[in-house]
Amino acid sequence: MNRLIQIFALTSLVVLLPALSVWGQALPTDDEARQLQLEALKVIGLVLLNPESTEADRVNAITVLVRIGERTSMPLLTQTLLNDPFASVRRIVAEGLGEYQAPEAKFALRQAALTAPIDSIRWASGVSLVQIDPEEADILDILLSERDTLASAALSLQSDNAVAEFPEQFHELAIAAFTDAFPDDRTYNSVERAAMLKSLAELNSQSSANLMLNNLNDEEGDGFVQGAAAFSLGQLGVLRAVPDLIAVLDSNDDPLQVGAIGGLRLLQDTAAIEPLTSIALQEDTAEIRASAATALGVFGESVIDTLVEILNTDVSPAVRQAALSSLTQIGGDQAQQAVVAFSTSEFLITCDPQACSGLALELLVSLAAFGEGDLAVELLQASINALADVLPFVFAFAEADLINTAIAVAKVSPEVIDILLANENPFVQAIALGALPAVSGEFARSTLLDFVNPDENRLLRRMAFEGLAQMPLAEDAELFAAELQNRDRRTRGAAFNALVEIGDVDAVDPLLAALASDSLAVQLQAVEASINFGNRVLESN
Amino acid sequence: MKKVILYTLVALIGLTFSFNTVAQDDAEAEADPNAELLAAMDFQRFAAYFSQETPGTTFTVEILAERPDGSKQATVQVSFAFDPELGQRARIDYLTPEELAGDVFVINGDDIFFWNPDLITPLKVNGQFEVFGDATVAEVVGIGFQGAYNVTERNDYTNDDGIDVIELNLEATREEIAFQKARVTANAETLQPITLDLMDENGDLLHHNTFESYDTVEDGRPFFNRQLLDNRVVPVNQTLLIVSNIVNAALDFSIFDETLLGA
Repeated sequence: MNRLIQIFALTSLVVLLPALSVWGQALPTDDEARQLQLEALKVIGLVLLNPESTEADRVNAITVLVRIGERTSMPLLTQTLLNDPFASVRRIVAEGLGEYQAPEAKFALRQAALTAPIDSIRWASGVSLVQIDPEEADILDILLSERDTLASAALSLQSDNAVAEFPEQFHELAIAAFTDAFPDDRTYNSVERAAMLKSLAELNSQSSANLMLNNLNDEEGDGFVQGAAAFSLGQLGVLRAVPDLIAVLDSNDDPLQVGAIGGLRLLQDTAAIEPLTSIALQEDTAEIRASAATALGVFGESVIDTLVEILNTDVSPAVRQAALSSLTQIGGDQAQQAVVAFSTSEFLITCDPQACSGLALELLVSLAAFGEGDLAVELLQASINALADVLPFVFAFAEADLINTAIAVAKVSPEVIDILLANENPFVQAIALGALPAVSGEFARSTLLDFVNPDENRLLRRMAFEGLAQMPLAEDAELFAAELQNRDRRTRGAAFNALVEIGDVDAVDPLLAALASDSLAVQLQAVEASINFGNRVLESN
Repeated sequence: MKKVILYTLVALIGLTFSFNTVAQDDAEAEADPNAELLAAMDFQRFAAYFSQETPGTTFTVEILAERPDGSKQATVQVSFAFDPELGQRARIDYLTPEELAGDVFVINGDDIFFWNPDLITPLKVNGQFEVFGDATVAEVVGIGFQGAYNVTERNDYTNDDGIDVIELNLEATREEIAFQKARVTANAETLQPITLDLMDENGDLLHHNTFESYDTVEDGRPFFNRQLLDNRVVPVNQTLLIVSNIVNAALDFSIFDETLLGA
């Protein structure tokens, strides 16, 4: 029993220590927290009410305001919806107001739904309005009866997020409107008609299967729209469509082929293995071969030989990458042996680093997934050397991929972090610092603190602060407070997040100073941090 | 005369970065029928961007990147300005989605710079660099013809929709132009471009654009407001560009200075 108590006590201590170190500080009073939030909202108001503010500034300000969800800001939000000079700003309000469930927004939303000059704003306003009050359903009838707003509805409801926000009791209304409008190819272009089909699938309209099948088999049909029909049949799980989907794989119409491959991937019917194999090995267009190689991944071990052949022979690095990803997904000894063999082949050594960077990263992830740490480390070093000249460019567009790859490799071979940190190239060191918190947790602190010196490389400082912000301690508060007006947005962002997490009364003055900054970018980050900081304080007191 | 001045403005703040080659006067423009035709086609698409009173313009472009198996959207703001000494400048600011907000392209003559808040310094890119979906920098800013292209061939015919059209084959005047060859068809009566094929130097088709609809601003200056871009290299994708909110206004020239990005 004593042993059990000891274990319990130790476990509790381990769990409580980080919590105590974060929340054991002196908190501001409720009044101080509310005052800070008030100052924050004032900043937003000044941006939105200032006619000189740019569109980008207004978008940033309204995005923060909508996300904050402060009901007291409703007058500002409704005024912005109706009067802001920029459509992009009005659209953000139109899309966000529904979640407030505020009856006082109804008038403005109805007004915008009926009269806004931009169709996507009209549709978004209508959806927000019926989210607040389903009795206002007549607005949807109006919007779905007009050509441009119906097209906007279709383009919007292709996304699962938009469908999730669209109240279920109105799904049939939209389904009927899209079904009626779809045949009219003189009024609606291919993108809009394809969107109608994809929306019908997102709305889970099983009754639309025949419409999609008829379109798929229409010899005069538009390939792009037919491709959407094919994919949508897969999304709806229409298994009887499999023969038709297989039949159009030979159509030589790229969008139709890609849609059919996607549909077959979702349906996972083994009858598709042979035709997909044929496409993956023989199709002329690399994009389509890659889609087929990806689709084969859902069929398990029976397709390993095909995928290995693609991995070792396809002329396109992107197609090889798709095959590699599918092999990793399938897993097992045979796939592992194939991946290891490929990693030691000549292909990557001779391949143009820019063309093969995606394949190289995929291979690293794959080797790590198979537990081949040593090989992964070796390959990582070789890849980084090969990419040295273009690393700034690759880093700019694939930073997250690079860091996630380093994390995956470091989890099987932790020494890779030290190897990367010893490299002279700051982009390579940055990858290591980015990966470090996920690999070493709290033990990363001392290494990260080595890089926060003001004279340190700006990129490395940023990575260090971002890492430390994931494990903030009260003793770091002063360090973070000094960075709230850093020129680098991400370093500032890390500092704001850390101070909110620490929640110390000493953070109030730096936050107020940041709210009064000359830089609007700093002010807007300070607004969000101040609101969140205030909320945490008010919840804790 | 007013229209000719606007033609010149359209060319001067030249959408394919053709500023250096178009310092022609009204008489010259009127004397060359092909140049006049190209200027008229630019005018139909872009006149609303330019005002004699203000040297700057902003407008918003909603970009929908579509595939049969997916869809994504972004909004960008495009800004133009012209300074008699410093020349033409353009800039693209991403507004949405939130993860792209803050990303910027600055176009300074033939040089194009990309910057986002994650970068330490701006990156130099070319006009075929994609802004979102398949829409390139050149297509989002707008591809002007006058001064940037010469007419190599003209055909007049009636298209499948029964509209009399003028078809012009075009060749870039300089190697810095993003698309070296192009083919435009325009309504013979209104001179509004209907389609624009963009090709590489070998004549291989890269993008097929359709100008789906046109509009005018309050004083009647026209612009295209919907453009459908069909990628013929990766023919799986279609991209729809919707232009709105054109504002002629004086702009702070420092926003076009790539050395100040991130400052």
